[in-house]
Amino acid sequence: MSSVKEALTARGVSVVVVSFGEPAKLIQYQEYHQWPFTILADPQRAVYEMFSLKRLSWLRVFSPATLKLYLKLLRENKKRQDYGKEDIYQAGGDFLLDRDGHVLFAHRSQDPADRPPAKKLLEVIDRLTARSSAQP
Amino acid sequence: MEQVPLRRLRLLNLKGEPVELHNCFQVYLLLIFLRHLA
Repeated sequence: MSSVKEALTARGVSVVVVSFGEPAKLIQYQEYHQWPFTILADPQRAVYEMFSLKRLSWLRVFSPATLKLYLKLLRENKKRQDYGKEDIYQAGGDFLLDRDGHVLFAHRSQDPADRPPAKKLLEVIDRLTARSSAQP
Repeated sequence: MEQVPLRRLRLLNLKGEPVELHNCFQVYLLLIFLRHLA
């Protein structure tokens, strides 16, 4: 994860992780996961809504891709942490913004396993950087 | 191209204090929205 952060920082990209969990729960979460990124809370889900991140259907939450992901995590001996009652149906997503709020890249997850790989994000950023430096 | 009103995005830090997202930028900002905590 740190190498991804370095690659993003080198490209001028800050990363903020957003959760709808309460800040107090996020402290425990961060103590366990040690994400090398800023974590912020959106307990009212107003920002989730602004990015049109909806709730997933039962079929999407328990899709074959999700089950495959959970099996992989189990094999890696990564146990699920308990942070109290949670909404497993909320969709996640990944968005790259510029300073004017333009959404340069958007990925709204279709199931829990659906996340863009870091390599793809870096390619998108490199294309944007090349395009902006080619403009007069 | 989609555009979001950055100054209207109200997020909280882990102390529960409001954070202004436009202060979090280098050139770009990648927002990663989590599902539930696990």
